[in-house]
Amino acid sequence: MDVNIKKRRKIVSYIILSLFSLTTIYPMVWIFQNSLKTSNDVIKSSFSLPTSLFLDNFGKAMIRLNILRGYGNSLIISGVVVGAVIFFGALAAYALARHVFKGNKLVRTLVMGSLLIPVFATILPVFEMMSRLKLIDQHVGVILPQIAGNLPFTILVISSFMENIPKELEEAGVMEGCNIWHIFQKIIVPISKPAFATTAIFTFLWSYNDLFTSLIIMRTKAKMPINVLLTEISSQYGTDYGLMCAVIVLIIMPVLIFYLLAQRQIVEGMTAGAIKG
Amino acid sequence: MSFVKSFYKTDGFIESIFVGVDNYKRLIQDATIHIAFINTFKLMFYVCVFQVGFGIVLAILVDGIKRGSKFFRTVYFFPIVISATAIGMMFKLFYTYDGGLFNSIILMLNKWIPWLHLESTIWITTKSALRMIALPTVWQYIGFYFVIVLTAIKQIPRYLYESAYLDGINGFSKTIYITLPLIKNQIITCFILAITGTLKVFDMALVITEGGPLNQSQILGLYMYQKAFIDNRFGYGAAISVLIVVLGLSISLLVNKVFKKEDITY
Amino acid sequence: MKKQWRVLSIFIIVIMVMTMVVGCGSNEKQTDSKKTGDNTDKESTSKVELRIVTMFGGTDPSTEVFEQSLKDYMDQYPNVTIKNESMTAVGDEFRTKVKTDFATGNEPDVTFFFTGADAVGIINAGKVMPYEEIWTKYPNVGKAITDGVKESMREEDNKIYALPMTGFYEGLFVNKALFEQHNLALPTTWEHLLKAVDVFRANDIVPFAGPIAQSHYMIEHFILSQAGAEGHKDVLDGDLPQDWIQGLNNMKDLYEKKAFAADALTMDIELAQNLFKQEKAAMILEGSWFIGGCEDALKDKMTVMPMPVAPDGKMDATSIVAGYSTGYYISRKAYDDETKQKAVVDLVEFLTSADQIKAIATANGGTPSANVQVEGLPALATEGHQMAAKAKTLNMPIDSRLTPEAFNYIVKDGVPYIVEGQRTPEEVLKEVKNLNQ
Repeated sequence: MDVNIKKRRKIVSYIILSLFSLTTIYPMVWIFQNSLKTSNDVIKSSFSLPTSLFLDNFGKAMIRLNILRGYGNSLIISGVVVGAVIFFGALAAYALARHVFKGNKLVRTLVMGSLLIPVFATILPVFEMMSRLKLIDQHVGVILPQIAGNLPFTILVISSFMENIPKELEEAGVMEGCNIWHIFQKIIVPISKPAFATTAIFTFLWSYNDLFTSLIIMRTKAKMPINVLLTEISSQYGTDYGLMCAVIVLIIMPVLIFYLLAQRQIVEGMTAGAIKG
Repeated sequence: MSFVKSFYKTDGFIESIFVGVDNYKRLIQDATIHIAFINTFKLMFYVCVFQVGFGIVLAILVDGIKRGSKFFRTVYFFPIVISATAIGMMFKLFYTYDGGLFNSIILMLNKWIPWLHLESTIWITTKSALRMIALPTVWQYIGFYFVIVLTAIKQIPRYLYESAYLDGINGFSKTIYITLPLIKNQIITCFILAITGTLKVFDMALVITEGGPLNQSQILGLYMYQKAFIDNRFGYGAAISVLIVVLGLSISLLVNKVFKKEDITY
Repeated sequence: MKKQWRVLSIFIIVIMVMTMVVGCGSNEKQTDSKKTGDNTDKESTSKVELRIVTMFGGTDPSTEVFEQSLKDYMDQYPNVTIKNESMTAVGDEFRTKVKTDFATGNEPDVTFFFTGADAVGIINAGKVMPYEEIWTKYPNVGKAITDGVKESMREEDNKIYALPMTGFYEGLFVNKALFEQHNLALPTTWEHLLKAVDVFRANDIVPFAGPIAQSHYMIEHFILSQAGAEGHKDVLDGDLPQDWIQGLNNMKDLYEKKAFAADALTMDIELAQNLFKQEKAAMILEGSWFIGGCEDALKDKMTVMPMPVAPDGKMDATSIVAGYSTGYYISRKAYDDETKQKAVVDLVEFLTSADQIKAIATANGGTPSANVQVEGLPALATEGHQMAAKAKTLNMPIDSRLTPEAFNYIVKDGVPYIVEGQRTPEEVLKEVKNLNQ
């Protein structure tokens, strides 16, 4: 009886999960199949399978931008952004989650407020600052605003995780005579690993896809991240949809690979709980 | 900075004239703002209920299975990777009256089952436009909350479940009494992210309906973008963004007040 | 212990504040024009680096031609290096980038940009050179461009700031094959047009591929066909122009006659174009660049003509909307820089020479701004150029005379409401007047 219920529950679970996964897989298929078609074919019949291996779109994309260099630039920018965001985000989150200091509430409110400011609302003053700092056309000029843009989200998510860490652990740490940095390093950071991995993934994703900042600050093709390819797909004479899909394929590939790698991190982090059951 | 700008009539770049509170006066009288305001709340409701809701449900289901969990974790992430513009374009091709996917399916069904008298539908109308934007918006980010909630669930020490199992608590009641209360903090965070995210939505709506027809699917984020970047009215756009920030803060604080975060220790 | 807490907390607050500062920024105006982004090497004065920003990027057909001409120029003048920062003008990024550059004193030396409403800000701020001033010293710049075209470039202060390469025209593109198939006369008159609407409607063909919510071209032509060239120019001076009201009502009239697609209210311009390209629609109002997106087989079935004159309309039957809306600007900063002046002027002179104009016109099919013969164009493009040559009047589009906000109000908050009967043209035009002040 009990076993039967379990079985049924399993089956229902799998059915629901599979149904939703169909809806998420289809767009990928759609993009892939359309990357192998001419623009007119995409418009006429974007839902049919491609009839031939039409690789021109990828060829066109390669000509317009040095793909490898683009990936390299993207990796530099997004990598530094992720590292900095996680480092500062972790510190700030720890302070917010654990320590009641004057202005704690105010800082929290500010963090939430800055979540609400879209990137295009700040681009002008950011640009002025960057040009005063002589950072136009420099990777740093893109990295700084992106760090600022992604910190609030990271702080919010990591601090909500840290709030769940049992206080006993830290108290034990204090008893052992650890100072604050030790506690932070030896206890808090290891436990919060999965949270770091999760926010790192999303920060990477947003930084990687942030076309607007790169376009305004970057000037030379050689320093452009890969996503500027997206601006190369249209003109006043219309959009080349086949090329668009090919470009999207090129852009999302590394992100998916990154995600798969980071996922392992999450899973490993999950099993490394502080208090073993 | 936006706050300062909102007192000017400016093209955002070179010309600006101080106009005091004119932009705010206009904000109050603007009929489109009223529609956008109501629509934003509707969208927020859809997002909170369906996006976060599905995210939680799927995470709990994946937590309960052994085989294939890695597969689901990977594929649910797919839509987030694709830019909103591309997804918007795809859905536009779903909705198209002439040769769109939905109507093609209907016509196909009509061939097989003629007695149902199915006909091509105009999917985006003044009544349905907002829902037609909400559908892809909600769907795209379900995976995002799924990942956050799943990370939280995996943090719960297993021995809690084991002792609960000995007490005879399992299955559905296990979820209600143990899992959900323990990840309450992260769920609140999800709601705050969902609310603030909704206020910023604009590219999807821009691609699918541009806020139309007759402004019926206008939302605050999109309206601000259009005023600032398409109409070159940065001052007024800034006033709208001030409204957005005030709105978002007050709702987030409200959420925090209603659901007091608790210190949860395992 | 406690102390360490405090230090840590302060440290974190500082970081947060910095974040907020970077995120929100300060809004001081930078008046001192610092040289950013271009480092003029002082070691040898003959070496010059120029920055140029154009919209010849992306899949624009002129991109390759333009990049080649920069190469040619650098071969000719080895002391000059050109930094090309071009990108496609689709979407808002290009406009934002150019305006941001000008607003922050980081303007390129040469800019290929829009004229009219888009350029008002940079012109009023005195950031670009009037060519009258340049011609006193360098009379040969833009010599190939015909006088008539130059005249059409005059801005509100009666000066010329931009030198154009190619222009555009707008017109009624018609699928001749569909008209022949149904024994219809081409829509040269309003009666023919109405007849065609009825017949096509009865045969399940969309008469007019017209996106109601993105009806830029339709607004132009319905008002032109009713108000004539003079009335079309008269943007809401004085009282509400009756002709404009009538013109918008003509659109409503056709909407009620089901001249547009079933989902016309929500379709965008690209979907409308696709209806025409797939021969599911018989007519479309478009600009000359529409030709480039059509397949050759379809081009042979198409022709282009002026909008027919509305009943009791004031339009001359040959009138069209056409003109030049882009051109090369020279920044004042570059011109005032002794080391750069000659190089900048030489570059623009080279880019606006007859050969260059011809090359660009051949690539994009636009009307050349100089007297050059462009060969190898499809018959349809030639018909278009002939239509422009025959036209008694050429009007610039309405949106070159209204603020973007006011024109977008007609497009988004006007026409859809008018055809649905929820607002009257009078109400809409009143609000447009308000916004345009």
